[in-house]
Amino acid sequence: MINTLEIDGVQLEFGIKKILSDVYVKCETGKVTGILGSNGAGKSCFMQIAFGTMKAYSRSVRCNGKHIAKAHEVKGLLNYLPQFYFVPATMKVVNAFKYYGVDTEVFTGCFPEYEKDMNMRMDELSGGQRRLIETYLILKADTLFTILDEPFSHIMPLHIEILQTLIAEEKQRKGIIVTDHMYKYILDVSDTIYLISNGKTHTISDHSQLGEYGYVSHAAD
Amino acid sequence: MQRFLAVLRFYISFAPAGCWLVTIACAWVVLKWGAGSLSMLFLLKLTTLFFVYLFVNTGKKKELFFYYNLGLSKEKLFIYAFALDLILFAAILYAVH
Repeated sequence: MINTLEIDGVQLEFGIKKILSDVYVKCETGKVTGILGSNGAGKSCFMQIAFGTMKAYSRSVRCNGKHIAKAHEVKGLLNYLPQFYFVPATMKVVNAFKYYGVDTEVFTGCFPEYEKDMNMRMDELSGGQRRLIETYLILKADTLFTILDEPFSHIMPLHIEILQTLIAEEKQRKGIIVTDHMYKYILDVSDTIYLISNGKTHTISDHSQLGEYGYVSHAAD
Repeated sequence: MQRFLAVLRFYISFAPAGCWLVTIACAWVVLKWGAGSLSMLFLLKLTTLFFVYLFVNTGKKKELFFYYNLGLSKEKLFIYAFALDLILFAAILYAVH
């Protein structure tokens, strides 16, 4: 079954500064939706609003056309990788996998060097290791949709390539929204690209449009 | 089951310093001076829970996302954890009384 998540009507202001005003993002099973935008464009705010953990003046989140008040309160609907570490620092890696119902053996099959770290506490790992584990947990957990905010930050290139493969595998069973400043990875992995600029989303059908909106220099197109 | 264990883990992450010390102190008061001050002790307990809420809500704000991703809202987490603490509080005071 193909499930659809739509987010629109988002109005977000900080004081007199309008952050988001005319946003529409659609995500569905089998597709990766990439969101790009400059620093402060409102990408992370948008994702937290979609997840239901940030208040906005107005917003509409719909799953298969049905309005969802707070997506994170609906078990199995949507999970979210924030930019910061979210797994409790004192928790053992193996226990984090148990809570999320994710198989440790499949993980160590993809990342064999982590086999010795599974009984360590999260705060005993390096920043990159911690980020990779958290990204993997969110990606593999059993939900209809997943939102990944900067999943490639602090992660070594080889592991980013494996993560890209995993994202391509996981999209067969869930819809994925992803953002990262490493935009080339986002372009590689995404089926649909939106650029947030001046509080509005713009659908990117041609990569040269990124230069036109001032997200990259024309030379980088 | 995983969600119940997650609530338990959430509670234990702040309970020793935030809740159990007050419960033990209140139990000592009841043991020493009897049950005359029970309503005051209950009020004290509720007040400390309010401060625990403020502390956890700011100090562990990022960790809350671990529980959100299990489908547990902030309201559910605190209501279940505080209910558990109040049951423990009542049971211990009843036992020492």
